[in-house]
Amino acid sequence: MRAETGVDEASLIRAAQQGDHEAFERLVRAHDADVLRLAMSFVGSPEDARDIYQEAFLRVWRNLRHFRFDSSFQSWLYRIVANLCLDMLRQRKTRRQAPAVTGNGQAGPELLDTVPEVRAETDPQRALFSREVQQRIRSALDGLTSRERLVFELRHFHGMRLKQIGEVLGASEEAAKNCLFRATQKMRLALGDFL
Amino acid sequence: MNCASRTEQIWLYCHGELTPTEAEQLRQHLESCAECRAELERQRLFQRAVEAARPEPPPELVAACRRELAEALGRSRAPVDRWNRLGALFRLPQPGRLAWGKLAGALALLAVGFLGGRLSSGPDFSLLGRPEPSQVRVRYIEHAPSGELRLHIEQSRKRLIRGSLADEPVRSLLLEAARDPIDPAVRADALEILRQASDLPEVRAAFVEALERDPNPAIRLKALEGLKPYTDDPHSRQALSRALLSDDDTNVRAMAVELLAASPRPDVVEALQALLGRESDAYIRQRSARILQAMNASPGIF
Repeated sequence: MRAETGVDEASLIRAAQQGDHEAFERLVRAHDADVLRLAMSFVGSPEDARDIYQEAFLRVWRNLRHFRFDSSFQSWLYRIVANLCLDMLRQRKTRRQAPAVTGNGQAGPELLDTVPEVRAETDPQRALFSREVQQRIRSALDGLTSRERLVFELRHFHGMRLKQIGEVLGASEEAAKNCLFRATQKMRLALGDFL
Repeated sequence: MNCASRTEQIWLYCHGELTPTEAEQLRQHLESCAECRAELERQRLFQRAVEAARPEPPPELVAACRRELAEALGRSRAPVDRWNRLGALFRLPQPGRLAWGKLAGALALLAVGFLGGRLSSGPDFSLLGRPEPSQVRVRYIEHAPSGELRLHIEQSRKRLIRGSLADEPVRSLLLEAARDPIDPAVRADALEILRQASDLPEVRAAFVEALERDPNPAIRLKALEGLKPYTDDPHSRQALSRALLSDDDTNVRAMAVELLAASPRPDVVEALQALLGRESDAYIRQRSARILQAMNASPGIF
């Protein structure tokens, strides 16, 4: 319906590639809340999300001159962020620390046994936005694999099309579609008749 | 193709990922298949519930991250040799680049002059707090025949403004921030604060403007929050009707219909009737029909 902003992002990128800090700052501000949302949701801790935020934008700054507009800037940025998030989760696993993504890797009713059952209320709007439903959705997200979760969040929380998700993953659109479909089925199974 | 195998197609349809031909074929099938229509509604409900659970990073965290990044960038190397920001020149002299070293020295002197002048001249309006260091960009360089260098610069200065919403200058800046063309977090923060002053017409106008023009659906939802106490106000109602008919985000339309339902009036009948003919979301259609029913209005246009 609307263009995202009246500002030409390509011009900002070209200026930043020439070392223009102000242009880079504007690029950061256009994307950083989304970067932080993705990092926080993925790694859980705000402190780790801060580290990922900083490292991601420093990498962008250092490598911006190599950006050739083959994909969108957003896809390129998200790919950096996603790789950092996955690296951090892998490191945690290696160190046998408790992961922030606390799922057991399986979707199913056992994941949700501790959550009190609340049936849909008579007002569907109220039920839809209720805290219980939202908590339950976040719990169900924990049951996805890292890749499924990434794909699911890119679609639902960041509004990306399958083609762009494929760009972020470095995979085909078909692979992104299959992964998202699998994640959706798991989520619906985990949420059961709650919705 | 049986109905069980259409689940994936319905799912792709919900995500707008079918080709126009595939979408049209599915729509035709949906007209005659209650089972698939029910599946479509389930998928839409699921999608809306998930999207409503979208996490929002706290504004303080965003601000802290930006500060840390600015500091880290000062310690980092630039992607190319040319620096445009004076502060960076101070921190990162480029080794072996004598001309740039001289330029850095010249700019340093200029900056000290500017900064000194700014600091000594004091704030230029009463709410102004401590000025932050200037940022200077060299726009172009001239070599005078005498050998003199002439640097044409552009200066911007970050400043801290202190005050409350009751202060007109603060309010004006917040109204400007609500239209920030770059940063949705700034727009969201500004609208959130302005809700406390939504009795002022200019603030309500800012909410209406955000509802109608902001590209980000989360900001448009925030604008609707701001308009919530003013569902009796004719301008707000018109904006809600327009959002109901034209906004492409289901959550925005759902909230707009909720607000109109809170105070059903004849002035929205036409919009609701038009909506019933085109709305794809069952919940919104149902709410609209109920509002019309509450007003004893016909669901159709004759």
